[in-house]
Amino acid sequence: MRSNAKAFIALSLGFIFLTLAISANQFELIKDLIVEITKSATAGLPIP
Amino acid sequence: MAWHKKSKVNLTKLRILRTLIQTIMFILMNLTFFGIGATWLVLPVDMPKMLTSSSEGAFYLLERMLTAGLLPLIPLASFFIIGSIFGRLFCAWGCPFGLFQDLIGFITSWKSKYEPTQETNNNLRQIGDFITGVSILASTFIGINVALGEIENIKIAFGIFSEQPWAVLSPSVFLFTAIPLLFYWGGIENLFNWDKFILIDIVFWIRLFIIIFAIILVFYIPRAWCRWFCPVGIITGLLGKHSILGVGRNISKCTHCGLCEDVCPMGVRILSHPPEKVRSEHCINCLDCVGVCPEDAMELRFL
Repeated sequence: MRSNAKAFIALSLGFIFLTLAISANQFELIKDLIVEITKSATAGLPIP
Repeated sequence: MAWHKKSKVNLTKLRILRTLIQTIMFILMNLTFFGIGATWLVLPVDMPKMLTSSSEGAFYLLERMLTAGLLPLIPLASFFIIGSIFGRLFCAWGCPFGLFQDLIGFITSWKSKYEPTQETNNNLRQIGDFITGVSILASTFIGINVALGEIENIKIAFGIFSEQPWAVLSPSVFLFTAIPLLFYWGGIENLFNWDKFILIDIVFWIRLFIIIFAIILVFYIPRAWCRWFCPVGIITGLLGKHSILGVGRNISKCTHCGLCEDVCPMGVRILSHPPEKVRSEHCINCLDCVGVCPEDAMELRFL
């Protein structure tokens, strides 16, 4: 398959994911996730 | 082939422009510092959640969503749309850890760099494949258990890895999130007090070792972390191989001098690729090859 065809398939998939994300209201859902610093990020830190 | 004055001037101008854009992108990703809240700028770059960041890199968000039991549609959309159009362009022009590596490269520019063979480059990239695969599999496994209501059990089983498995070991997270937090939350004095120093968790020392290892590696090999270990680069590289935007070579102008290969920070053997477009998962579209070419044979191409 030509590379351009692969790029357009990947691009179409991307827009399908974006449409699904918007219809599932994920941009609102991830609001809390985005602002939170996880325990994984702070693992092992010598914080009092 | 000797360096043309034009090549040097063009390359310097291009690198200054790239550093400027990288800095602007870094500011755009940290809008909270200017009082602006969370934005939806989810880019395929190695950017963890920082104290001042208004968004998160696509891979960290992907892990975070998977472990929360959500389908990671937003990071997938980011990877597929941006990756299929621009390839790994954001690795060169927008990644904070890429900027950090470029700055180390600039500081140590007096020292000649080591360039591994293409075979070594490809073999070591398998470490990145492994990191990416394990992180995604672990996150998916955690997410399925969370969705099944086993939250407490899975948190005990995976411990610090239960929210973002790769974030524990990523040098980018340690540099941009952990170290600023040490100052902000006041834990830095523990490093200078012997009684507290000996009580510091082994995880801290492992993370410190990884960032020092990454810095030493970049000291000798340009963008070594991007080449072999970064999960963002692994995913966007797969898409970037077939991306719409890419670098091509005009064969009627090319003299095969090899300057483009000499300056490539990712060690891509440009002349061995088809002239229409460089189809390499390593190419980050930094355009150093375009800037350095004395014959203007290298050009940015669409489709």
